[in-house]
Amino acid sequence: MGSGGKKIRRTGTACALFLFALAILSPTAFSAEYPRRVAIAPFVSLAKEDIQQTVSVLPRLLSSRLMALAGAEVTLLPSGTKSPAEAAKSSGVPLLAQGTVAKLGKGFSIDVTITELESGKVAGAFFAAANTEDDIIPQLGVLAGDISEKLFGVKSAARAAPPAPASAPIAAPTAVQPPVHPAAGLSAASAAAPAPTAPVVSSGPWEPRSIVKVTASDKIPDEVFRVTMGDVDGDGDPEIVAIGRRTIYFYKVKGGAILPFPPVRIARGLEHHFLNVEIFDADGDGKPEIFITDLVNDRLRSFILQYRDGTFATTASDIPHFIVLLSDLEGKKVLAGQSTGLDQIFLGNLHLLNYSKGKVTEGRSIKLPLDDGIFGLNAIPIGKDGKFVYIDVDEHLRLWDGKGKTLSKTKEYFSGARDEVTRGPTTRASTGPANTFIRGRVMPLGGEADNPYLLVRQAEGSTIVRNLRMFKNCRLVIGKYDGGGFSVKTSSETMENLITDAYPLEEKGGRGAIVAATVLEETSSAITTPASRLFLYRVQ
Amino acid sequence: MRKGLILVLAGALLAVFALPAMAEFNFSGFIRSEGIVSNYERFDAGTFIPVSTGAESGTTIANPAILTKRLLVVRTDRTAHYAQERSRLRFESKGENVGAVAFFELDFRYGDAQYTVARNQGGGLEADSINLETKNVYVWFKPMPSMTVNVGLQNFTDSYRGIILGYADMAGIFFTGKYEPVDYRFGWAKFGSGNGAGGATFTVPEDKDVDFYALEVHGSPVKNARAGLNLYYIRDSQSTSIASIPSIGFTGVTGLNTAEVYYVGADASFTFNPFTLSGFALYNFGKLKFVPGSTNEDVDIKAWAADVRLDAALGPGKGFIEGLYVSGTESSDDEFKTLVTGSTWALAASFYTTTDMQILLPNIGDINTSQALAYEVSNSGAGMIHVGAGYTMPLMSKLTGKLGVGYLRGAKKLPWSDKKSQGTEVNANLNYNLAKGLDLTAIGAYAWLGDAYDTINGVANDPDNPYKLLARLNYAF
Repeated sequence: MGSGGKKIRRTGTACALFLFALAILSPTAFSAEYPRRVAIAPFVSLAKEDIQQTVSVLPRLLSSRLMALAGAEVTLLPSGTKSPAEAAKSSGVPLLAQGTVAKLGKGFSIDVTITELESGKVAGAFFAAANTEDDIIPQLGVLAGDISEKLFGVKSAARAAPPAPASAPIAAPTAVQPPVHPAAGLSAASAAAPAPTAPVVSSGPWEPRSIVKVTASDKIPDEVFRVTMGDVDGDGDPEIVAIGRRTIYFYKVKGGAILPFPPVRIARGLEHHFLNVEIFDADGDGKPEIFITDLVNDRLRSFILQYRDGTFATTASDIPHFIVLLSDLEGKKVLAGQSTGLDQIFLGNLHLLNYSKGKVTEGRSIKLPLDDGIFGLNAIPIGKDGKFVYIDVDEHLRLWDGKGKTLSKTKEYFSGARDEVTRGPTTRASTGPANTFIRGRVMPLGGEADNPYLLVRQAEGSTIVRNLRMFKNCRLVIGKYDGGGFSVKTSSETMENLITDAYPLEEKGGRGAIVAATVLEETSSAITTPASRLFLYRVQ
Repeated sequence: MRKGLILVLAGALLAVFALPAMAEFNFSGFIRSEGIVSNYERFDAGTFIPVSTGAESGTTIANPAILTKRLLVVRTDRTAHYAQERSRLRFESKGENVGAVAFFELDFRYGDAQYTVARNQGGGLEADSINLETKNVYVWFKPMPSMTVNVGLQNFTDSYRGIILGYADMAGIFFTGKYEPVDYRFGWAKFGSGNGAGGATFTVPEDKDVDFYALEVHGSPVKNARAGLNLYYIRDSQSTSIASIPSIGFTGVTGLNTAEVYYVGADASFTFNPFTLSGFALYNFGKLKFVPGSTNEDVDIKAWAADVRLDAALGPGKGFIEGLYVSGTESSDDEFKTLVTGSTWALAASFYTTTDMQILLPNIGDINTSQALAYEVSNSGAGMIHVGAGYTMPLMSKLTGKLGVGYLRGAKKLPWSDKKSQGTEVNANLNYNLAKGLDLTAIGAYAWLGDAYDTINGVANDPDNPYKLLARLNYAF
């Protein structure tokens, strides 16, 4: 090999060295993708000043952003006697994130180190700088984007976007004036009373493209079956009210997190069985009421709460109806109810309910084939004839006309009900006591006024041994009736845990929505402790 | 009748095939195992008469001539203990307007037998027995949205808490539906067919059947109330089956020809929070006809029954109190005043259990062991006066407890005694829900026998008071 060969060797060596340097120095040096499961330890403040209040929420904020950006499964570690590494290992995740916040001069440095637990090696180190304490939270979003990209291989536009103001990342919906109709079925103070902060179906070409999980609450040691949302305290941030069998749980959605809302929970005695919860300003006084359907010893004795002076007061009780909120009956939201039967669990027609001055009275009745229970029913005008959507006893979605005649019935199953009401003993004619599964709801979610998108849960499980109620996966779906029946347009990620209920709240301008969902992580039995969580999804 | 039946069946088949087929399939059932300790239950079913010595289970009392009640030695040193199991399997295929149900049962006692072909057996070593029992096999369909027709072997309970027919399986055709403002049920079933030889050999003439007809109409006259009128008719021309009516005063039942038995009555319930008041009253009339030339004259049936029950939500639980009266016949009567129940034609066709007794009356949870001082309300011809009460409440999460008490006496003197008081029972149960569908229940019951058992046919009698302890595991799926 002559001088030409020398040249080739030099060139080759230079290329190799260049590539090596490129590999070392490339920002994608951390692009090895790790499993998207990480535990976050409480952040440590290294500042002399007391910024512990800000520092204490940073793990939760980082958690929600990682969930949103990368779909990561995040475990928040409590502070305790165990070291973070021990606590993370016992929670079974492969990665541990530990952060510090230091103050240097007038600015703050947020530093996060992520360790691979099995090997003990550092999987990545990340930092962000904030000019002021107010700037810490938006910079955390940039940091989360950095982690998502470098550790999980997820590039997100969130990193390039300017930081959002920390004050109201999820705003309560605007109070939108509903169409003015004669007050049939509502004894509102006046037709001109301030409109309740309730979502209405917005007209206009809006199309949902995705349902993404944003954040989750702490674990709730209960089986939680129903959820609703609304601004019960009038501060602009929505509250979430969820019910277990005999406990009501209160949370607030604020700053991208689901936070306990005092009094946090209200519990009742063993003879109670909560079946449904709705939030609605039924008397038009501007303050929403919370309607709890309560079965007490085979008898419906529902009650109403209202937020007053920092707590929830009972404003009416002993209401003998299963109470539901119909989304759009003749142009407006109305309360409706069905009574317990004498020999059957639920019997009788739908009755519109009026609420005023602490009393609930029955209005007109609407004859619908509701022998299987009112709880799968919503009033949503669809097309020319569709008036009601109903999840029937076999958990098919039906579109009814105004008299309950089926216009369309899905072959697919929806809802995935698990909570049940039983009555009577096992007889010689049966294989168990008469049971009724409390089926889920169908909620409108924007789109055209006469054919909105519908949000509903869908669970896949045994369709043969149906009483076992064993579901292998579950998801939220958004669909629409489009001539060929009900078709699913988009859905959330499928998960193994059962989503027991979901409730949407439209955002400003009706261009999106947040959805609160209850997720059952562990059922109750003699050997297991029940557990649930609240998830918050964003529909875009 | 036969031509009409054929037409109806043809119409039913046409309806079934004309309807679109988009069926779902559902399988449900339960498996129940229980252990029993009792000084009277002998893995048997029916009324028992407690005695202190002599006759064992299986021996029937022969006086009066056609009174066949089992004598049981009830002594604490004769306590039995055994375990038994029952499984029910229900298959349902259902579409929008048509479906079918097949319902089976199998039972056995732990360690009873193996390699057998018999019902209620097969729990011995190696098992391998043919013991599946068919309870129901029927088709249902909706010829119109507000009506359902059931055709085949199905279950029927009367509107009188089962005192005539309680969860009785029968082959027939029944229509149920709504015709505003009422809902209705009517239909027909055949209890017996043929010459009375169990249906295995069927011979002409045709009029050797037992037919049942029903018509019920219910409605809500006012809010929170429900009332109904009910008409039943049973015609028995099998003659030999009537021999099992526990009649008093007859020297025998030879020459019986037909029984025409009518029931007319009403039932109602009314809720006024936190109470529900319910009840019924019925009159049973008809005739027992003897063949022309018989030494016996036709006998009129004149019986009646009434019941009232109060349910209440009291505190953390719910309670009830119920009273039942069923008329009986005295030896001096020349009319048959005992309620003719379905048990005339098959054991346990009449099944009254709403007071949840364990010893005085049969219990809804009984498996094969199902013995009671009065297994059906005609109560050996004496009728009954029964009062029962109970209170059920949740004790903690997943644990429910219940206490019950009851009293039983004949409306008239019992046939073996000149006294009426049969006994007072107390019972209790605890039910723990281990997991979804899985329950563990402990039951205890004790009865103080009344003076109706102080003598049996004039012979002094001193049995121990009967008791029962039971632990049951039930998985429903």
